[in-house]
Amino acid sequence: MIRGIVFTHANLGEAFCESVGSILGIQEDLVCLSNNELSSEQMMDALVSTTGPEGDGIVVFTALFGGSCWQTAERLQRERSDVRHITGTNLPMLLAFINKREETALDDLVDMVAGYGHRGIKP
Amino acid sequence: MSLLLIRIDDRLLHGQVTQGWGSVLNPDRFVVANDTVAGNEWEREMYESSAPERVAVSIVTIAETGERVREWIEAGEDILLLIENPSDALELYRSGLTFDVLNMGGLHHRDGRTRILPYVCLDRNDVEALSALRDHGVTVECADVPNSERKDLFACLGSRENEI
Repeated sequence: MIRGIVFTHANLGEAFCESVGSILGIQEDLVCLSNNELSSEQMMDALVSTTGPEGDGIVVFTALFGGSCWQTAERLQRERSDVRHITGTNLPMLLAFINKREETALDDLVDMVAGYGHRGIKP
Repeated sequence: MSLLLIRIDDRLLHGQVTQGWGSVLNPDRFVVANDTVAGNEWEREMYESSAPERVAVSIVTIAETGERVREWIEAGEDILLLIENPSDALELYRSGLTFDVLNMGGLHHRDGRTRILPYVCLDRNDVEALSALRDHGVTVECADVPNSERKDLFACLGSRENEI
């Protein structure tokens, strides 16, 4: 199973995971992590611990391009072949991730999730 | 044109700076003064790509910061300068880039540091560098985001200044 980590400011990640749970039911391999009061080094340590052992792949979702979570996830993606990072996270992206992850390869899944994110924005 | 803000922040250029302070102060350029980042092409490019398109980003070594900042200001730019820690701030000051107010935006917890505010933790080296800046007449003002209450660092420290 491809695992997801929602890594954001304050308690946004927790709220995202709760919201996914309220729509699709609680998901075991979708976890949240906050950058609250952490240095850059501590953010990396926390993210690495949250990824756990290597498995089928991990997608790190961040919300703000250029933010400290984004930086940390970019660094981890560079180091780990099993990690993909996508930013600009919205609820349609997380719902698509849960619904498609069992039938889609990691790189295709990230592209697909980005597409759902774009299509979820309607001015 | 001027140095709008000189900020100590161990996350350097990130959301609080690009979105928070950047939106309020409208700098022309974010300058990251940090030898480690300046010496790492991948990190440099990552930071350079991370700001809104209307604001330039420059990564410079501590040694070249004073001269480069003066050039940018003479060319008419408003600058927001980011420094990782108090020792680098003191080194910059002693190199001739003087300032009256230093924003303390984030020094996060690690072994040996004592928490002063939720986003400010200091060890002995930090306190000594900040004291030296105070002796030069610099006010160290804590504020993580633009609308947070400005707190004088040494008032927050109180008697702990000599205990840390």
